[in-house]
Amino acid sequence: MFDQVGDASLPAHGLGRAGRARNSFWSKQRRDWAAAYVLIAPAAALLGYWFIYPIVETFVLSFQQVNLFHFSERNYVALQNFNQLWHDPAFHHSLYITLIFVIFVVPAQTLFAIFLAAVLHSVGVGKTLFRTAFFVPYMTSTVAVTTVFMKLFVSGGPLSDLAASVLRLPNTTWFAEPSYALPFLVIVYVYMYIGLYVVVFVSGIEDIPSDLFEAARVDGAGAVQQFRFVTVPSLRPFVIFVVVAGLIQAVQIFDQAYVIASSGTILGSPAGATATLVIFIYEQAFRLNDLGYGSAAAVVLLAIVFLGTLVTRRLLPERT
Amino acid sequence: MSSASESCGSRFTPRSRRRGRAIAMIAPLVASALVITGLASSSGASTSRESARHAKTVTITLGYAGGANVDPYYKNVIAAAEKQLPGITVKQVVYATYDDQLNEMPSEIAAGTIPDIIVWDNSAPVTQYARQGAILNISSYVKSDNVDLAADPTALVNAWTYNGGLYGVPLYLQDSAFEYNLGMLNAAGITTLPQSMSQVGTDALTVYKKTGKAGFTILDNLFHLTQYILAFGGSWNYGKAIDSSQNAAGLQFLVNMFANHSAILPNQVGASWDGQAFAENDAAMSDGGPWYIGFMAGSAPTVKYAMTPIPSSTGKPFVVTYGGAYTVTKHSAHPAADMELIKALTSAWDEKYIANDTAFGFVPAMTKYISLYRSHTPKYSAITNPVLANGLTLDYPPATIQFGNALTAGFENIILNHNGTVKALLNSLQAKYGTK
Repeated sequence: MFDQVGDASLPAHGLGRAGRARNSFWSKQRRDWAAAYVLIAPAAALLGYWFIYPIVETFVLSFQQVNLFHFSERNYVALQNFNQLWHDPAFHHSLYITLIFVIFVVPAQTLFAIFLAAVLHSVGVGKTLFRTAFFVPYMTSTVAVTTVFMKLFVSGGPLSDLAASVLRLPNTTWFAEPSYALPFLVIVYVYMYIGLYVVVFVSGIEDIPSDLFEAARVDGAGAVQQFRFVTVPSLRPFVIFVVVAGLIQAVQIFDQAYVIASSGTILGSPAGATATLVIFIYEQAFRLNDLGYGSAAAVVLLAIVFLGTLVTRRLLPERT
Repeated sequence: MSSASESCGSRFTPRSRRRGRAIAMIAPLVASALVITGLASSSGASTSRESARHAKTVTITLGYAGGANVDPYYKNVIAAAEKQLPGITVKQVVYATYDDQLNEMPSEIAAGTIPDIIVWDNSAPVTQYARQGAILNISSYVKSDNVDLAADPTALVNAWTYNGGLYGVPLYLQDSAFEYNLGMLNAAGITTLPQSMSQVGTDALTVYKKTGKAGFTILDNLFHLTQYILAFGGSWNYGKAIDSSQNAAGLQFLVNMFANHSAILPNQVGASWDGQAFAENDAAMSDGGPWYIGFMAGSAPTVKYAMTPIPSSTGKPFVVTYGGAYTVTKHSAHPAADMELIKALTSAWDEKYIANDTAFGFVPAMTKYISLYRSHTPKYSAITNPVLANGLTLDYPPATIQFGNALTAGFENIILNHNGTVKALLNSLQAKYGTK
């Protein structure tokens, strides 16, 4: 249709004043833009409906008092929900639990993933098999993985026994004891996500020019030195990605904590040891039916993720 | 910009401009009409659905927690009801577990997608739903449809009554009870069942000392914790007596058992609920109910156990009488039709079916069939009709969900973190959820 009203390739002088005006309006660049907008419109509409609208609605809800039983009756309460969060010990506790979780998870999964990727890169045979094996936990259902780990870490279970004999820890059910429930959560989480980051780092290592390794070898660098002075510096952009993505994901820890609580009584069991921020949000919004309060906590989570990402990018500049 | 308007101006003829203006004027009108008719059809849904009811074409959604033991029951009774009521079609909404049902219901109410009728029991926060208008007061329908509630134990009907209004037609009876793993007790040298709650504590400690296993287990939620405040003569009394000395004594009894290691939570031995810990010989005693009968028969047929009313601090045993019922939810567009279906689903035939179908795992609501059920399940013989008739009620505070959550969190904090006292916990709960 656009070609009929004025293709930029046609000589403008033959079209008359109106034709020239049309030709000017439907320049090639504008036609390309129009086509591009038409093509992305369906995706943009879906994105807006599934992501932008819920975010906006969450912001709106965070300034309202909403009861799920009377969803249409909403009262504007200004900053009351945020003020309540500020003074709520349960919210502070959930922030603390989430912070501790992130502090342990992000460095652990990043370091283990780099190490495993380097080992995997040096493996001659069965590289694809190992890479797939590491990736399988990430693709497996969280409920299934957490349930299996709960069997392994029950009092008298194989890994509880191992921890008791090697580390001299009490032989207890980890996910039912307040002191061990969060470490249990960290172990399950790192196990699940490390495969994803191993694949990322393997891709990064494979992108490093082989002549860098050759030059290092010529200069007498061993495997450890090559890892230290060639692999790690070259992976800096990948480290940034893994740290930022890992931080964003870890802050949102929910599924594993939810599964643990399914064998207890209330979310956050035992005794609040797994009461993460998203558990707090879910509990307020969908268990205690206070959607406005839960939304306010979700807005705080969004702010934390945003700030965390900014800070991480500042601390880990892409180029040295 | 100017070239664009110029271009447009040159492109359209006066006729096409007029047509464009006409379309521009008509389009919002058409859109408004569509919106208004949409809203009208939505707001008039109940009228049209009631008309449809008269034309005998009503589809009623019925929600319940599924399971291998309950699915055949509902399938058969629904088929029988549909046959009896030719104009009604029942669409089943099956929740994976009862916990899932309770967790999903608030969101479904908010979204308006909750089934027209739900089956649940009043250990759930029924009064909170009733108080907030999420379920319907069906007293007038029960009266006009001549639903016979006199056939059910009064305690059970009362349990579904809130502020003089009825919020459920009883389907099955439930009661709390006390369970004893006879093998574990015998292994500890205990040959007679405890007659009081203090004896339960003593025996539990004996089991722990002699076998190294827990003498007692409790799933720490509002329902189970309530059994022990009742055992010590307490009650929540709808929020008026949360901090009573009897309630404190009941919770302190449990705290002491955890302190001397004679009690465990089920998840401490990897069990998902008390029955599992009991069946796997990880705990010798637990509060429970008739649901143990089906579970033990299926999961631990060789484990010898007994079931009695719950021992109390006074020596007079008791049970909490409650039960499951059909409730009409607030979004139902055809409550009259719902009640016709409920009446059909709670007939004598259905109740007799429950008595004979022991796999269903519930006790019939109609008093006359409880004896029939007892004849099929001798384990239930200690729970006699007089015991059920004198059963206590749960009397939860109005903000039941929030109260239960706070009580459990505080209790776990005391027994697992050794942080806080029972008295301080109950005082804070009274201040926050009390109705004094």
